Amino acid sequence: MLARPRLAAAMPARPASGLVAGLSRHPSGRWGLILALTLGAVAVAGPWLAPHPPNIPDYGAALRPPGPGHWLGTDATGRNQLSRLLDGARRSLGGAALVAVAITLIGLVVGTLAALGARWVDAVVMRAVDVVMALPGLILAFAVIGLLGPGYTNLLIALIAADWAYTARIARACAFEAVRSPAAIVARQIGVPEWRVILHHVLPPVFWPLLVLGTLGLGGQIAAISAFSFLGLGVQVPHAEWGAMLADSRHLFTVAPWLLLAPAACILLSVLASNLLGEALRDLATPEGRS
Amino acid sequence: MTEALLSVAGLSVSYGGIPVLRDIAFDLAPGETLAILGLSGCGKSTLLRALLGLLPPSAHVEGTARTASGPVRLADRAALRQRLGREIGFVAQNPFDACAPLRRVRAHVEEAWRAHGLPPDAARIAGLCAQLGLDPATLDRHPHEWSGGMLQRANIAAAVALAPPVVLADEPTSAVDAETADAVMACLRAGAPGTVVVSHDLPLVQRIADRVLLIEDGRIAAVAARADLAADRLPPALRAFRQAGAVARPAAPGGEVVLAASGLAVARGGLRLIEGLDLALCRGEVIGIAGRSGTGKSTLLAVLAGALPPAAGVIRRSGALRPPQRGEVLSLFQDSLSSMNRRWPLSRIVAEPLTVAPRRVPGRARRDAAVGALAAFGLGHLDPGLRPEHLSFGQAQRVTLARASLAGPALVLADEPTSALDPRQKARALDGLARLAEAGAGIVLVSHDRALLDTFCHRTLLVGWSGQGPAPERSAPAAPCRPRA
Repeated sequence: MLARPRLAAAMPARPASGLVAGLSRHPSGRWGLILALTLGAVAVAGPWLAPHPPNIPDYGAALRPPGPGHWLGTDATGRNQLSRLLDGARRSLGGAALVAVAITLIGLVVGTLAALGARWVDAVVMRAVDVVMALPGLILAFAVIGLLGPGYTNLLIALIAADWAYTARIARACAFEAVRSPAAIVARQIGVPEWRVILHHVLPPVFWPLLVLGTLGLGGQIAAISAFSFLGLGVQVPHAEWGAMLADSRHLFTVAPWLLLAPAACILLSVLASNLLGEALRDLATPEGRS
Repeated sequence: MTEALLSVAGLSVSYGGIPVLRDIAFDLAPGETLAILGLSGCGKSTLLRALLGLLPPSAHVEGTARTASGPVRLADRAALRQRLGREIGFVAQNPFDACAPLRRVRAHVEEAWRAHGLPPDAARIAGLCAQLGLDPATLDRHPHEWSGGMLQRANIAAAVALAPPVVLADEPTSAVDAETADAVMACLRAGAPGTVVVSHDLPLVQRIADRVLLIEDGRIAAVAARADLAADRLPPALRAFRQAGAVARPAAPGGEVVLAASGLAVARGGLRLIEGLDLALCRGEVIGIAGRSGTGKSTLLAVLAGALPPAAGVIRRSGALRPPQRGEVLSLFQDSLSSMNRRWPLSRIVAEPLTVAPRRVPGRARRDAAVGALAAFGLGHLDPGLRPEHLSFGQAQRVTLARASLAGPALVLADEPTSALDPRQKARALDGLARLAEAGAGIVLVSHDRALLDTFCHRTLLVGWSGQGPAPERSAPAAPCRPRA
């Protein structure tokens, strides 16, 4: 049977369909949103919130356990752990967000151009995507860092280079379908100019899956920045970054476990926020999911 | 009197206290074909699912059924399912949905035995193939290699494999074309002693049923025996049901020829599907296109829309050899929801034609025009801020018609616009189509539904009748088009 049970006439009022309203009604979206907003605010305001300068050693106060004055203790050179976490949030979270936004935009543009362009454009772009996807992301990122040298900016470039192809491939598939969808066909028949057909009928169905993908991938980017910094290929001393902080304190675990646990908890919470938010956005990506 | 094959008594179904079916009772006599007729949403599919024990746990089911091994409470879903296959067979609406796409069709038929832990009976399968007109060799192919009509026969073979006395079928022919439908129904009736068929297609029911139950609002509204199914003897409730689906042909066409094709050939993937087609369509005229699935009807529409080049021949639009201009052609789709931007409210969808010169009007006037167009197509009660997902299929098709009325195209190409609709929704949609014709559009209507084409269209072309014949046959024009100079 093809009957659609929900009759419009029986709908008394239209539920608010905004994204934030949808997220705050969604069980996991609500917590993801709260967590992400909190972490985001910390990352932005971190340098001002820090009670101590994050990078200046105080050898007299080395390896203090958590307590008054140093709420999360101090590291081997006496730097305040809380200040370093607050300062590092910018690099861990901001960097991951930057990478996610960049690969989403690159994927959106490249994928949509491939779907809209001539057949040879599609072929050239998609074979380039195939080449990138043939290499494991980690190896590709190592290769880029090897070319450019270690450092935070180069790490972000390496992560973008390793990941853009996946979003481009998905964007191309979505755009390919949307360009040929009945909604786009009718708009063209009506005489809507092609740029507006793309803006109204092609880009939205491409953008939403990419937003979900980007949000779910945010956790992976945070972990990747931390991992490369842990290996010494990302953020360089004396700057704080959660993964680098983990690396610096791993041999002190028996003496000062708080040095390991605090950045690990920060990474965990960020990845959790990204997963909760991504899961909620996946449900909300279609108008059907929003009501 | 002989024992009934199936008797149902006191069948009621409710969801959360809201009744869907109330006190349904009927007997199925040996050799009988019982049709259950009703509009979309009347509860006829729920009735079948209740008998199959397939309703979700949230459904509250009352009543009993008596099958070959005795009475069973319909609320006892586990006991009912034990009887499926052996005492009750089931044929689903869409044969492609019923078969697992990765498995061969033979595996699907053998499942009838395996589901009960029995070894498949090769001799019985061969016998069923012979009886239902299936080539046993094709059973080893996958479902996508089958046509819908043949696959539905394989489904029937699976349903009757264990020789159940009763087979239930949910719109078994709605997914196959009209020429195949009668053959499928004949197979179904040959397969089992008693058949219950759910449908909203009154002409089909009149052809095949021995008895009809009309369901309205969850109750049996009328019962009619075969003798009462002749058109002039219908009981009042069935007469009203038929009236709900009655459509009037648009007023006589006349005026400018909007589309003239001569010697047109249509090809897909290098294969010529239609050849030597001559066609002239004037304003206000409706031309029907009929033909089996896969004969190139949709490809023909794409060519007429200017989306594909013809393989041969020429198309003149309003007398000139040129591609369609902006707003000249508009397509209507079977799945009308897919032709709307799901993220837009109805007012914006309907008013999209008014965002483009020369019809462009400011935002406020656009919204008012959209509200007016929705009202003109009988959708005035809808909130124009609604999004398409809240619409029924029938409402959705009328929204696209309202949009078309604001676009004012010279040529409307409609591909099966009513095939998902029940008679009442269909009549309303066709009403809207007639309104477009009267506003001056020439309409090409593709459909499987010969009765619809015969009553609604001014002329009907039959394309690709045998799939390989040289030129398309043509029915006599009912109202010949007289183009004005």
